[in-house]
Amino acid sequence: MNEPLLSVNDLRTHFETSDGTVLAVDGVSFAVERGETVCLVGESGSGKTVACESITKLLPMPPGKLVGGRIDFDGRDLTDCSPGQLSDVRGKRIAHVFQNPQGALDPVYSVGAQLVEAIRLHRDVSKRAARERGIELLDRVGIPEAAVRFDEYPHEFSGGMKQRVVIAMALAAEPDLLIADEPTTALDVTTQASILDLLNDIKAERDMAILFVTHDLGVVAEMADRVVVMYAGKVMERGDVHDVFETPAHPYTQALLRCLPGRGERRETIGGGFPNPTDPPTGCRFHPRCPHAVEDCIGGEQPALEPANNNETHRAACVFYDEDHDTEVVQESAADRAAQPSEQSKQQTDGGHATEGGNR
Amino acid sequence: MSDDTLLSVHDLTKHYPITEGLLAREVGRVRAVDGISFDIRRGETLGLVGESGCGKSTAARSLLRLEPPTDGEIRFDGEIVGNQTDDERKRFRRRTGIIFQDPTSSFDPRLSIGESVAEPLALHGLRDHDRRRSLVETMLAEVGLSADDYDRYPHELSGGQKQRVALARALVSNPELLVADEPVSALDVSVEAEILALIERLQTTFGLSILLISHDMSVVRDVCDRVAVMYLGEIVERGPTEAVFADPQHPYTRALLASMTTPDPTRRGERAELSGTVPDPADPPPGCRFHTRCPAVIQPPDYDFDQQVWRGILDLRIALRNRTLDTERLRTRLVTEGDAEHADEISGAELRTAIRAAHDIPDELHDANAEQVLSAALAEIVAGELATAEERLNESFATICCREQPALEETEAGHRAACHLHDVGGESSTAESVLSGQQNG
Repeated sequence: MNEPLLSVNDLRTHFETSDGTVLAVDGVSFAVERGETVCLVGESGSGKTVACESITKLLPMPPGKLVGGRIDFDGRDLTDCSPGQLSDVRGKRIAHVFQNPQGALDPVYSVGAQLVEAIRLHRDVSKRAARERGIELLDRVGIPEAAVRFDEYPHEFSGGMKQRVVIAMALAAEPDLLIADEPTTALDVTTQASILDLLNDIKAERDMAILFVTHDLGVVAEMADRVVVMYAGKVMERGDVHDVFETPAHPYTQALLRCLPGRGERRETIGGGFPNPTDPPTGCRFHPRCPHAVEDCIGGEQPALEPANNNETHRAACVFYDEDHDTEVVQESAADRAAQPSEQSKQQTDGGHATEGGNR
Repeated sequence: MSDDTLLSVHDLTKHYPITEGLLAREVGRVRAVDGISFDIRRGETLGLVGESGCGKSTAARSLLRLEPPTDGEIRFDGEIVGNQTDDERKRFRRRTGIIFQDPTSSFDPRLSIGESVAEPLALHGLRDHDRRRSLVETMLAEVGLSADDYDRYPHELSGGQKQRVALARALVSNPELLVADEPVSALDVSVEAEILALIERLQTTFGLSILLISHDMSVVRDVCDRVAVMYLGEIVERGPTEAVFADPQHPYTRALLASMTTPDPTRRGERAELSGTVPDPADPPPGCRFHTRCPAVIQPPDYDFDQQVWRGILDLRIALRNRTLDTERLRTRLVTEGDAEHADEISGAELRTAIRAAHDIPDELHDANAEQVLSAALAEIVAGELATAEERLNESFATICCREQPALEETEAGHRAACHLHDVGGESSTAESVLSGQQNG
């Protein structure tokens, strides 16, 4: 088997704060193959963004600190690279697109000037050639009248159009990997749909890999080849998108899918609170909120990622998938999920107390 | 208006003047909300959906008179809101509450959350400090916080907790109407589920009527009894939630529903896109405001087009109307892309082909009569007579969608939509076939 394009192994990124060490990413492993889309999905605080930004060390360090792990990108360990070598990788081989396009563009320079800057940073070309290339890129990302819009300023573009410009800048150096961190979260549904289509088209056209960070399971279902579910700095489950949505293996993934509105049946809540990042629970980090938790979940480390449903590529970090436990307890298919009505709602995720009036 | 109507909004309008010069002469107006009407019954939840910039939030703010509306009549519990005495207005304020999308910016960071929640009580004349405190503590417990949280400050709370506090503050004066403006958009899914559950529970406890504003169709589907879809300051469809979702009657509603993602990878690619952007509300398109983006614009009766080609011709026409079609620019582009050295060397034929290509119009229409009109118009465009070309296209390819504003009328599906496809006398079979064509396409 070929080496994956990006392989993250046991990554640990911690933050030193006055309240203690925040274990933002605490032993995360995943891989991205050439030309595939991997979605990192999780709620705020799960560590998905920190994991991504650790790859090219975009994080401010300190307070952030890469405590351990390897990040192999195209045969090179990025954790070993000097700042100079890294800045060569950044933008050229691995490009980033963020949630807020407004913040990614400088309001006092024209969009074209910023594009030309991005192009000339990575390639030794004349200004004129860079301009032509810039217009070509704007045209490719679906900006009408690209040659004219090239000289306009960011404030003259709508939110969706700005995000297209940012994508054009990310494509300037023809990267092998695009890291897109919630790129459509700030946009309208109608705009979101067209940006997702654009990313899919570009990916197919350039055989570019995408590491897509999102909290939106609808977007995951639309984009991903493979999914990595994160919770409190750990990977809970990973696998092919169809496997994860049809037979979610980890109780956390199952609970997350049941929270979604608009599925026809009743929404449910997860219950319990998000763990304290400086002092996460021992054992499985989800055990205090897990409906299936047993004695074995409580102590030691997060269980290893074991194959679910005898499928080597679909793995869950849950004790019920090791040899000593009965997998049946936690298994559930999409059909079961639809059939089961809700009966819980004890404590509240955001720290609300159980003193609420009558539960349904 | 039936007896159990709590709020009745009739023809609500909010325009913002665009002024110029020292004397602030009005040179135009942004029609943020342009004549919308709806009722909210007691204990009911009405959803107001639409893209950003369609006027949802402005509608909410002006109906609560946080900003004075330009025009329209608002009746709350039978009484006209506006022109009230100060006392009456204060009473109205006490009977309504609002929460916003971003709970962080809606709190004073220097007040403890208890003080924030107690503020409305003090404003409405509850001077006894201890009573205030005990009421607030009860309210905090009601929204799933605890009495001990009274002395905590906003920065100590998570986003979901802050939204709970916002609910406590909105409900502490025991209002009858709650306006929730994107209450869960900034929250994580698991927290969103809890806040929605909380809102539903509070609705039962307090017998609230709720106006829920959201761009998220799945939230609206879950929570609302009825829904009103807004586009560019107008309501284009209105009805019971299930009816609107199961059988949407306006092409815009269909497009909104089609652009939703579903958490099911097997249904990937079933999304449909909506072309174009929301037009400038200072200069809304004539006729149906959605015709500049609508995939189902009614075709002129004497010609025969593929719907997609017809959309392209309309786009060309709209470009002429908005003066965004620039032949000089097009020539320059052809020079950079092709072999020609100068803009003058681009032949008329090349330019015509380029214009067709830019609007996805084939090189020859299969309807010969239509082709004749189009070629004549293109020849005029190339010759620089844009106004003549526009006029020719408008006259020959006339459609009611660009001419007349559709009224919000009852459709065969039983709820209201503002679309000419449902016009009385029009063939309703056409509406059905065109709309279902949109869904499949």
